[in-house]
Amino acid sequence: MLTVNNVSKNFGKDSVLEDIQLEFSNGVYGLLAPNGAGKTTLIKMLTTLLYPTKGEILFEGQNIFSMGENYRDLIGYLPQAFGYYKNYNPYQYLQYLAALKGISKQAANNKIPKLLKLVALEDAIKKKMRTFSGGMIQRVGIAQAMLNDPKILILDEPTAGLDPKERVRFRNLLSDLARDRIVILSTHIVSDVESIANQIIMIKDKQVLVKDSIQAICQKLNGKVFETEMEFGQVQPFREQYLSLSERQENGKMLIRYIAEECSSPNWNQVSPTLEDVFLFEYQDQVMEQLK
Amino acid sequence: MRILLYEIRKVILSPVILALTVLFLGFNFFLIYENSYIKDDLRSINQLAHMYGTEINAEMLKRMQSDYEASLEKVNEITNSVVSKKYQNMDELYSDRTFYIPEKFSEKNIQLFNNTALLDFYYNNSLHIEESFLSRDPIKIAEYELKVYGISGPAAELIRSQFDNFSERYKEVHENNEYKHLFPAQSVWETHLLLFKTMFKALLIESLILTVLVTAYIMNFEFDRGTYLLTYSSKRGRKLWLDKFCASLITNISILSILFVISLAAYFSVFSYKEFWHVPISSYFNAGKEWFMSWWNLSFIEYLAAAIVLAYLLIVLFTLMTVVLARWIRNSYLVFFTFLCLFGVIFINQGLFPNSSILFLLGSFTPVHLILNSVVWFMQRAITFTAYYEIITIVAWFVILLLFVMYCTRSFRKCDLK
Repeated sequence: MLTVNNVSKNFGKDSVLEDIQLEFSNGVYGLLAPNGAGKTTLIKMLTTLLYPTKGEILFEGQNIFSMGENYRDLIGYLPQAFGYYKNYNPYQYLQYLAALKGISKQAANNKIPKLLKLVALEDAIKKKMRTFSGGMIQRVGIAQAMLNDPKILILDEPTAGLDPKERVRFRNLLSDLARDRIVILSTHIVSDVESIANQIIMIKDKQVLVKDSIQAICQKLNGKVFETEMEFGQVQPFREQYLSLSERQENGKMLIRYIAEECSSPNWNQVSPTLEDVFLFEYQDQVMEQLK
Repeated sequence: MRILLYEIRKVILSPVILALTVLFLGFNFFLIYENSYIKDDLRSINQLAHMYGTEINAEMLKRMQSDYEASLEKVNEITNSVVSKKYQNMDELYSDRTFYIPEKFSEKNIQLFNNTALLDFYYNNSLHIEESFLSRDPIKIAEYELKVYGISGPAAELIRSQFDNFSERYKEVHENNEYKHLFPAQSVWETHLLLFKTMFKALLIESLILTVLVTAYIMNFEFDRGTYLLTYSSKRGRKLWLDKFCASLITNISILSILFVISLAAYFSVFSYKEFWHVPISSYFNAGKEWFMSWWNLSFIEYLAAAIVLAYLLIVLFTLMTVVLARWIRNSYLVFFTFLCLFGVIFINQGLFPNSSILFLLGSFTPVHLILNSVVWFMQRAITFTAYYEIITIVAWFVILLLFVMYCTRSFRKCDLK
């Protein structure tokens, strides 16, 4: 079990995370928050790249920083900004990373072709990575994260650059992997985690807002999410009154999904809340700020 | 070991490093070619040394004298028959403006004139070598140096306090006849300057440029390419920084070896030292405009070996210096330019102190001053005043830079990698 125990992180005088308390056992954890909420900072602490200002991170009761390479041997990590060597092919690049991960050359030679096949790069094994698309690079990143068959797989915005087909493939892959390991998936895209995460962790105002199953999280908005159709001219005053979650044109009218405390009109249809509804509700200020 | 090889491979495949190494080798070949006009003279001097030995003694002088007289007689026979003139010595012959009419003399005759002139030069200088040696007073030379550099006060007193050592070494050279050996004359061919100033300086500056580039390149490779998050979170973790440090050292030493082996092999294949490898570097023939008397009794080959060892130590020091910079500056080009600035600051540090201050003297105890003055390594000089100048400089900077590197290793292990 991986435990984050009252961890705070400051950069100089700026506090980024405060008193984070989390526990991870096998399964997929979706770390969901808007950009700039501190997801990457938390992940970098879990990968020993950043040191907590306060608190500790334990794996099976031992401090991960004291465990050193014994801990890092257990993790697979795909950073948000995944750098690579342009003049290397994926095989050479993974060979180098395998050496850093303490994997013997022979074991790496056996494993790398299998991993590249798993991420559908078997035809590009000897091509220089400078010719790769963003999606291909990201798939190399996913392959390298799994090189050492990690007990803890940490993925920071892993689906960036992947096309819809690759995303589905990737989600299925994670579901398979999560059976006997901890998978922590950081994202601000709700659909990335909605179908696969056992638990969702939301960070707000530097602290953990919620850590629960999707069902339990959605329960929070039960009876408060509605849909209704209206003329286009009515949309703007309606938006000012209620939090609009989604809008789409249908039959010459606007179909709006929104949040309200209670049903105020027979034309309103109560619908089941989704994770995206909760996300937009909780981060409405930041989302509006980003939309501006 | 595998990681080390991967790190070295990165730099070996760098086109900039490869191109610069080839370019520098080409430049060294050019320097050798540019000075190759003395190679025939050096071959003749080697032949001379082969005939008479390199140690100057009464028996050798006697043999030289008899050969010289016989040779001069042959020269006079030829000049008498062609231009109806006879000469007392070869100087007189070459000074005679009416003499030099090449068409009148065969190639063989001119060769004889040249050989005789060479014998004349070496015989006469060998004959008067003791007087010439004794006319050079090391204390007077040191005092002259003090005047040239404007050194006064406690700094001058410190240097003067070492004058006993200057005289003692001078006496030793006199007593053990170190100075009494044939060697390519510095006053004419300047081979010491060619090898230890022109060639060594070029080799050292080239190695220095490559050392800084290679070290900055290896140490910052992951930061330049944005791969540091992956590499430093791998099992190897921050120890990779030490691997990179070792890879930089190995690569720099290898590049220095390549430059030295190829360039010196080319140098010694063009300029023959066949007879002079074991001649003391303090031979009086090695004194030209400057005084090249070593602090220790070293043969030419020993001196060359010591200079090469010192070159290696300097490259290790500059590697350490660049590693320290690369710890704090995460861009290889910025590291290079910061190093150039630091090099300049160290070079001009003496300007911060008055010429009378001991600090002014200590300001020259730097690897920068060492690398720029290879021609006087291990030689007696007022400004460096002690026989242990090179050793003190190397050891002191090693200790300082090693402490810095240890601090950097520790701080890198504990730093946040954002």
